[in-house]
Amino acid sequence: MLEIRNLKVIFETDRGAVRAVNGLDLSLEKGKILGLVGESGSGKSMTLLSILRLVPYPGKIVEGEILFEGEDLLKKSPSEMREIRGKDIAMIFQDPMTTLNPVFPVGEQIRESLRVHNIIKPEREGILGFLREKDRRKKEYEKVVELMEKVGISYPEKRYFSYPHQFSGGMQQRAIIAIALSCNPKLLLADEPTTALDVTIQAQILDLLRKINEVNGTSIIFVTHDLAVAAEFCDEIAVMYAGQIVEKGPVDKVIGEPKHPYTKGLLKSIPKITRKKEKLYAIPGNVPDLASLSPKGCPFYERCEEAVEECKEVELSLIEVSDGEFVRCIKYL
Amino acid sequence: MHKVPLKDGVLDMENGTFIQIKNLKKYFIEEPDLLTRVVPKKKKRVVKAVDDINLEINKGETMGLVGESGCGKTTLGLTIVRLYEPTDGKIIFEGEDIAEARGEKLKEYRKRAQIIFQNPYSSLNPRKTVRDILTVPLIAVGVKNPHVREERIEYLLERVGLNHRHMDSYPHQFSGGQRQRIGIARALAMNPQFIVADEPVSALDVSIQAQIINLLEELKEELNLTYLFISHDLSVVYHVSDRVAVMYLGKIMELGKTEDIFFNPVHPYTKALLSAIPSVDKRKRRKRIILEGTVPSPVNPPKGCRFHTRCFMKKGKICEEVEPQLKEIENGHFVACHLYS
Ligand SMILES: Nc1ncnc2c1ncn2[C@@H]1O[C@H](COP(=O)(O)OP(=O)(O)OP(=O)(O)O)[C@@H](O)[C@H]1O
Ligand SMILES: Nc1ncnc2c1ncn2[C@@H]1O[C@H](COP(=O)(O)OP(=O)(O)OP(=O)(O)O)[C@@H](O)[C@H]1O
Ligand code: SF4
Ligand SMILES: [Mg+2]
Ligand SMILES: [Mg+2]
Repeated sequence: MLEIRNLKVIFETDRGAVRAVNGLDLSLEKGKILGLVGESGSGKSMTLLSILRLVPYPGKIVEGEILFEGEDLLKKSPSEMREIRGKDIAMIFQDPMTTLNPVFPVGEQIRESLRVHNIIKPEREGILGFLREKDRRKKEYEKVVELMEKVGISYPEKRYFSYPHQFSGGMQQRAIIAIALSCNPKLLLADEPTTALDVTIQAQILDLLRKINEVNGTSIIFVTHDLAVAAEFCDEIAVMYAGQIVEKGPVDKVIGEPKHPYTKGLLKSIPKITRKKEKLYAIPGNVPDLASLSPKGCPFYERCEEAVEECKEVELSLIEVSDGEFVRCIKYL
Repeated sequence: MHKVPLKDGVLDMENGTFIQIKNLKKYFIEEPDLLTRVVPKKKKRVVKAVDDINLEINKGETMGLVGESGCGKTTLGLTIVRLYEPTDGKIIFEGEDIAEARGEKLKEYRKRAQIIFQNPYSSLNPRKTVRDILTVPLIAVGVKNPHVREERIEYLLERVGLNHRHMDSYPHQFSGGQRQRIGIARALAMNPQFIVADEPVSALDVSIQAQIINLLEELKEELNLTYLFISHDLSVVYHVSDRVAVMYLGKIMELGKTEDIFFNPVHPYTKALLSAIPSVDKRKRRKRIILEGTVPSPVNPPKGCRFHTRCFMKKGKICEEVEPQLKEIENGHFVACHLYS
């Protein structure tokens, strides 16, 4: 359904070129949930934004293909893209306030997105257009109430006219999901939709997204820095480091038998609730600065405990190590 | 430097209670803004952020504090170190009530009780170098000789895993993890005995969190520190704490040894909270209890048990009418719930 090939996104800055996404390959089957996991700055958001062609200035997609249902999104015209955005592919942005406008009632904002995509068609133009408009609005209102109910906003008729600040964080996130779902998209891009929320609210939202996936068959790319959330929620996991996928595969493989030293390190460094407490393993060093990262070799080299001299120079790509499981590391070349 | 041994939940009395918090309250009065002031019926709103909390922290232990956003964790921490004025109650530190301490006495206390803040990006002054940042507390504890101070700064930086070459750098030149290390060095400069660590790793990347947690644990052993460790990340709290307090809407709902809280939780809220923790290990996953609704406002907390609006085990009318008190149900395991009274 979606296939990304060798995607590269570059930011030209005065400190040099920042390779935010650096030769990324990713694919997603219909109806599946893919978790995109990685630390801050590893390029998760830029990958999602690339799919919608919304990479902010001065960032640029310089190479690659993004095939959605067989067609390359990077070759579409701006008007074709506008058509696709929201209708076929919807996104939940990392910051709720980029989606919700503080000065309009929440319900009206959901209605607006129905209107933009022409979900409720006007019946007939003409002299009676005025009356038709009223009728259309009423239908849209009903649809909004239905959507709000579906995403778990109780008393939707009352909440329709509430403003975003009158909603709690979890409620705002539900409203955003309602907007994303308003056109029944085939693919939902969710950028850290639960990071700002409490665990009990996170559980509610994940539950909701899971239902949407099951009932509507919506495919989801779920971005998170929390490996445990991805492990529970996703069918497949792709681990990102410095703009590249370093490991991907079915969740049981990536979490159960991690191959890449970075994935292994991440899994070991998460505190676990087990009877026996041990000192935590810590991955040495710091998250790399993409502007000063050497273009050659493995970007994890300096922090890797399994590294050998050759890692500094090696030309790497994702290698299939078992059915559907890929790793980018010299040990699997 | 040893940990206080826990024998069947009874704490070593020789080390004994270090800080005792009694009926502590911190209310915020929200004055109506100009616009709403003209509406005659609008009154001042009282936010009961910390509402009658009792807690004892023993010397050398790490007390974990968990709870959802807005339940009053930070407020409690800031009040205990007296960066906030308590509305009511006592804070007994080594036998002396410092809840209303002023002047010299307060200054003295603030040296011994330090806080590490949640956000390493905003808690350091961007216009000061690391040297400036660390000089202030050193002068406060009376290190007047500049050479000694210099040595001390070098020692502190090294202790938190930074290079002394970093001394003249500004905060923005550091990564998040490094900034948190500077924050820790600043707290240590005072030679404190007690540290409130308010979400010290929440803003950090997963691979960096473990570094900071390990550092805090090493420092505790080495300097015989006592921690109040605040976090909404239950796995982190499990890992570092000897005992854990679970907070909801300004109150403690359950308190006990870490193992009791995590493996034998009794309060419905604790149960729900624990069931919601995502885990990488399939076998460790608990049956998820999805709590309905959201946390009510601390301005008008529900009558009776504060949790009754979301409780899935509600006993009956009593939960809506009578506020349950924190009671000991077994050795050192306390719970505030009508199911256990
Ligand atoms: N406007 C910009 N100018 C220069 N570099 C940028 C800009 N915006 C993003 N970048 C770089 O692009 C890289 C990828 O950013 P991205 O937002 O995709 O990361 P992320 O994985 O989503 O991180 P987070 O978890 O913090 O959201 C970052 O390392 C960042 O430095
Ligand atoms: N200075 C203040 N004035 C008014 N209300 C405040 C103030 N500080 C905190 N509050 C309120 O007190 C309550 C408790 O806040 P607090 O910051 O202690 O929560 P917390 O448990 O630390 O939450 P978080 O996990 O989000 O950090 C909240 O409802 C908050 O809005
Ligand atoms: S390629 Fe080398 S440096 Fe990179 S992860 Fe593998 S072993 Fe480590
Ligand atoms: Mg992002
Ligand atoms: Mg807080």
